[in-house]
Formats: sequence, structure tokens, C-alpha cells
Amino acid sequence: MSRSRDDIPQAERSRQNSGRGQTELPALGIAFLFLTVALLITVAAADTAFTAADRDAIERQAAVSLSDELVDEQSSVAARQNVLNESALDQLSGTKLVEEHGLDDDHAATVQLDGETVAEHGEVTDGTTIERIVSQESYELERLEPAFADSLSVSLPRRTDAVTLTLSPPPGTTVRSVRANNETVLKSEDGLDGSFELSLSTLSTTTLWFEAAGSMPRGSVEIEYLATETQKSTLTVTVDE
Amino acid sequence: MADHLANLKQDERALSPVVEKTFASGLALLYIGSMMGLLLGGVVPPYETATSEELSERTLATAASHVEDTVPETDGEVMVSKTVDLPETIQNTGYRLTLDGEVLTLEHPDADVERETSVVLDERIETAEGDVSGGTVVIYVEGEAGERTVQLKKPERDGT
Repeated sequence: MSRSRDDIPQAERSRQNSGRGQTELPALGIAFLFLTVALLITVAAADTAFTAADRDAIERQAAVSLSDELVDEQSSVAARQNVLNESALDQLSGTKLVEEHGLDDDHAATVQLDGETVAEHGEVTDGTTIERIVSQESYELERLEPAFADSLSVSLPRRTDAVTLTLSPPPGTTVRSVRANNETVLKSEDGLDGSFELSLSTLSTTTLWFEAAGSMPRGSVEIEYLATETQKSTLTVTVDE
Repeated sequence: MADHLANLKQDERALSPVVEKTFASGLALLYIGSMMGLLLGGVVPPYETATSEELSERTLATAASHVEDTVPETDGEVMVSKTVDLPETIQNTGYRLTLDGEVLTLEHPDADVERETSVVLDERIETAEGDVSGGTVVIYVEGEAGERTVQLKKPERDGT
């Protein structure tokens, strides 16, 4: 048989009440503790997300625009769009970056080609790096002295738009004309002798035909042309504000 | 019943739950208040500033690269326009973009948000100027090579 509320003696009830009243404060404290921890975690997560999204947009824009300028066909170091001229690149300097390629004088920058520093302006500590793949063009003067066997013709091993042709036929031999593919480029009834600049088409491989009376030993024709060598490299531009 | 009433009258702890609850809710309010104060007063403002600085940088960088991109590579007379959507406001405040030669500036009442960058324009451009408020901006490039002008304008409203 259960006791009714009134049956509990006054003293006992008082003891029960006093115990119950104070359990609520520690509970509140623990709840606050949890809330605080949750809040800290949230702030930390937000901070991480924020840091991840934080990047230096202006610095990046400066790096992009500098690298754009360098590979632009108007640029002093580019032969064509995205093709860098190796010898012009050697002339590049930090001052030129500012004067010709629109780098802000307050910004530090380095330009590297395949990891090798080409130009430097100021001191870069960290910064934004833009990498782009470019072709790198170098020119080399090639010389060809054909020895004619079956026919008086020579095919140029590389396509080129200009050659220097030096004719020095031995005494008694007269070179009347020179044809490039099917086009007569040099002609003289009295005989050709000396250096001639020929413009050629790069659209097809050129074969030079000589029309000569007499023997043409090795050395009577010398052909010089600029051979273009192209290789892929990585252009790295780092700008530090 | 009378017995019950007598019991209640005797009870001296009638107010203690009230006091205790008031105390607890007071603590809760104090906690919430201090946390709000801490967040809004100490934690949030640096983030707000950082966000608007970042936004201003990005706005300016976007504007600058669009200006650079709008300039055509060709010779001869050109007339090019490009519409760019930029944020209307930064930190709930309007701002202005000023182009003067090769310098593009973002003007904002908050000095921390103000930024300046350089725009690389080739030698075909003679003058570059403009002063527009944020939002949609139209970049105009006009003229012969060497005499070209770059202008920043607001879009012309339709006749409606």
C-alpha cells in the first residue's frame, strides 16, 4: 500500500526538496560547457573554411597578366603567341619586366623557365605562382655544302624562309640559274658567282636545282640558313605583392 | 482540505523554486548575452573586414582582367564593349571603380577595403579612363590603333 503525500513526515520532505533544487545548477553548467565547446568548434570550422578560401586575388591577377604579357605576340621575348625567343629571353631583366611588361614597380617578381631564373625584380619571399607551358624557340645557323652526285640539286633538310646561297664555282664552270622547287630564283647568262639571299616558302620542303655547265665539286655551293629549334618548356611567373 | 492549507502556510520554502528558476534563467541570459557579445564584438568583425577586403580584391582583380581582355589584339579601327557583372556593394556600401591610365582603383568609404591595381594596356591604347559605381559595368574600347580609348561606363538603360 502506497503512502499518500500527506503521510510523508515534514522533515523527510524538506530533505528531499533541498536535494532536488541544487541538481539544476550543475546541469545548467554542463549545458553551458557543451554549448561553449560547440561554439568553439563551429568558429574553428568557419575559420578553416575562411582561410581555405582566402587567396590574394590582386597578386594572382598581377601574375596572370605578367605571364600573359610575356607570351603575347607583341612581347619582346616572344616570337609568336606562346612561343618564346630564347635569345631575347636572355636579355630579359627585372627592369624590363617593369618597363615593358607592365609589372608594378612595387611588386616583386621572378620569371623562371624550366626552373631556371630568367629575370628577377625585387625579392620574392612567397607569392602567387602561375605556370604555363610555352614553346621555346632558338635559332641556329646551319651550313650545308652539298656534293652533287646524280643531279645538281639539293633538298634543304629543314623548312626555312630565307637562305644565303654562296656560289663559288671552279674556273671553267658557269652556273646559269638556280631554281627553288619549280621557280627560277636566280638567273644570269654570264654565270652566277657570289652570295645571294633567297626568300623561300615555309609551306613545303625546298629543293634547290642548279643549272651549270662544267663540274660542280663539293664547296662550289654553300647554303646557310637559320634552323629553328622548338622545345616545350614551363614558364613560371611568381609575383609577390 | 483545511489540513492541507495549514501545511502550505507552514511551508517556508514556497519561494525557493521561484528564486532558483529566476537564478537559472538569469544565468542562461547572462551566458547567451556574453556569448553574443563575444561573437559580435570580438570574433565576427575581423571576419567581416577580412571578407570585404577579399571581396574588394577579387572585384578589382576581376575588373582589371576584364579590362585587359577587352582590348583587342588587332590593328585598325575597333569598337568593342564588354559587360561585366561585379558586386553591387561591398560591406553593404556602394563603391566606385576608377580607371586612370594604367591604374584601376576601388574607392570605398572604408579605407581598409580600398584597393589599387595596375592594368597592363598595350601601346595601341592612348587613353584609359572611367569612374563608375559598382554593379554592372560596361568596358568600351574604341578607335584606331594608337589612338584607342578605354572607358568604363554604366550600362545604358533600355527605353522602358
